[in-house]
Amino acid sequence: MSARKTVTRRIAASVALVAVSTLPAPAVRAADAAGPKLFEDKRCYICHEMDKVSLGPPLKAIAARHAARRDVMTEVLAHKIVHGGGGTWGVVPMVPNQWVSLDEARVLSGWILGLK
Amino acid sequence: MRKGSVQILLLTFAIHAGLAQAAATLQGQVLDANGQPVAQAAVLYTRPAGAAGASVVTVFSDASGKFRFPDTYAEARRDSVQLSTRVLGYRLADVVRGSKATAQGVEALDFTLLMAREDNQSATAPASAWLNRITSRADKAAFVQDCIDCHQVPAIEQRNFAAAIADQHAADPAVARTESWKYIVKYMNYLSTWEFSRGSRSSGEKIDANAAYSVKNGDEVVKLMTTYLADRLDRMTGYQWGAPLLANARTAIWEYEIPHPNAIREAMLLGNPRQLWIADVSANRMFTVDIATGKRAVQEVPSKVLMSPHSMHRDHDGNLWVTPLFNSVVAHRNLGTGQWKTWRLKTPDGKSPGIHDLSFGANHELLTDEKGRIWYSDIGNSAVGYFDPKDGAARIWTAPLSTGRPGRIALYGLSMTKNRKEVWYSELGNGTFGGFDIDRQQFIGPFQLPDPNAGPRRISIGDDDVLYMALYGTGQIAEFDTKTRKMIGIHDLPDTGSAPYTTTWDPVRKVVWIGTSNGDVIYRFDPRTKKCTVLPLPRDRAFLRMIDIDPKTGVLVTSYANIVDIVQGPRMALIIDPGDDVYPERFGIHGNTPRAAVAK
Repeated sequence: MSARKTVTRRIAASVALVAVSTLPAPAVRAADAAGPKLFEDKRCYICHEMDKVSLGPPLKAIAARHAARRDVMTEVLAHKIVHGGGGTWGVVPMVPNQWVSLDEARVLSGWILGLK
Repeated sequence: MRKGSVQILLLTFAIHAGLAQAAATLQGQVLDANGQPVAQAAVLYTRPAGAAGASVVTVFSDASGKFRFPDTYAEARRDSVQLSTRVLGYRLADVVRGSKATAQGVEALDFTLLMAREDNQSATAPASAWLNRITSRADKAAFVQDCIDCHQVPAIEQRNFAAAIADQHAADPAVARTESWKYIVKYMNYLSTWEFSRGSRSSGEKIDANAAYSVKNGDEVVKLMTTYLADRLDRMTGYQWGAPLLANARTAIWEYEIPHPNAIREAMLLGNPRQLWIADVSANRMFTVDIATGKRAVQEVPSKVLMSPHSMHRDHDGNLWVTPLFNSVVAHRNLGTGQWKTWRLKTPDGKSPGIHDLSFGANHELLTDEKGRIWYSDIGNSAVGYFDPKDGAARIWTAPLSTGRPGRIALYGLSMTKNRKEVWYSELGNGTFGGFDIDRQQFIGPFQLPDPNAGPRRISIGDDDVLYMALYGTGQIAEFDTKTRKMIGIHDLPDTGSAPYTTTWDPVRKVVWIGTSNGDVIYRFDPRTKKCTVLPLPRDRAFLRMIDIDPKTGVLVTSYANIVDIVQGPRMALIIDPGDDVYPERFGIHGNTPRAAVAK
């Protein structure tokens, strides 16, 4: 995908991907209950919504994109939540989150990647 | 009691005292690669968790590069003491460690710090170094006003983010920069709205993350960031403090950390035994720290509504007054009895004052008018007013508009003249200040500073009723004579990107201390010479607010007020001995020494 496209266009494409996703539902994990609470407590909602484009990509779009590599991406995304970084969704990097521990980030990423 | 018993008792006491201090002294020398001394180098001793006293102690080297830490340190071992340095243009390359036992059983640890030249100052230069790329003073002032309310810019977080933008290798880097900084401005707007609506929104109430908030001219901010902060922001060369350093071999800084999630606002040294009192703006809570043992305790401010301790004032009796971020609650703590008293102010016509400062006098103590009423600046109603602690009665007067300067007023600092008949205020939002005649109930002025974004913040008043104003946006200090109502002068500070937040008149040294938000320094301004000297602080993101001066020892007491709880950076209160031995007593963590005794 061309990096010249705006972030909005790229996220819109990803949302379309969610719509056509036919992957099987992942097993429910213990993390799934803690995920929404952390999402609220750590104010992730400032930048992310469930299925709408906000400052960052929609959670369901993230899940859809990484569904095929869910196990490894749980760890990758946990580190990204803590340390920030960019390049995945467009031209805007994610900010680091110093007050989210790696363990909390693993709960979050596990929950996000299980969304459908 | 027989003489022998007394001797045994004294001996026992001596042994106990010896055990309590079975400890080491720390000294050494700072040398460059040629073995030449590095003078005025900051040397930091970061102490292990749980060590009694300060978290970090900093001293400075003398002309021969030699340094010595005050006191002894029970936990210090030759091979594990963690020393670091902070010197523009240098990095610490190696530490050579030595030790010898002294006659008193105290181990003398000796360290030679070998410094290497480091052209890239990105680890030691303050955020203001980058801000000085903005050559238009007006643009820079506007930028400071928009962003540095809450955090330094560009602090390490923004510099890392700039690197993250660059790392994306976008086909059009300009688009990447614009989009990224645009989103950051929006994100920051959300965070500041979240922070400053805590006192009024109901629990569970959501804030619209997509609305525009405090930084109304966000497009201008984004434009400045994409224009001037367009690279990775990982290289800084040639920065200088801009004036001589005031640090000498007796200068010492004691930092006490109060970790996240607290949000330190201000700090003062109060009581007997002396404790640091620290306002935590995130709750109805203050912390006390015993400066000798480092023991921390929580002091709840008794208020049914969220008040969030914000500004602190000392009164003539050494008691504490605290003003709130929210809900018009003023609190008083009697240090002797340990009792709190609080007032929730309301004017007869139903207004709730948004109290910022209480009236400071020339000794940087709370000064009341002749009727015992306490005056305050009211940032919520753009007013000045009083409340009477005897019956809680409150009244405000709305300040006159500043002609040709529409928009945010933000009536901020407050000082009272020596005769207690006038208060003087600053308006952060429009480069304006003025006075209020208490007997006549009339405003004096207003007076305008040349730049509408000059942003006078906290102000103080000297013995001769001269008003000293820290011009946050333009990086200057203004001297205004309240008697003749004439400006004496407006002077550039050594770094005009330093965002000077506060002035504190020093009644003994007859100088003005200026705390900066963006410069990692404290300036000492001498009104006689109009010159500044610089005290560099031990770390970056040293985001200062008010500086208090201990009346006995003249040590400066302040804090790194990285306020919004999501903002990063150090959370510490600190005590600074400039090392000039001017005050009647010399400060010590374990007790002060009369200066006459020091001289002997």
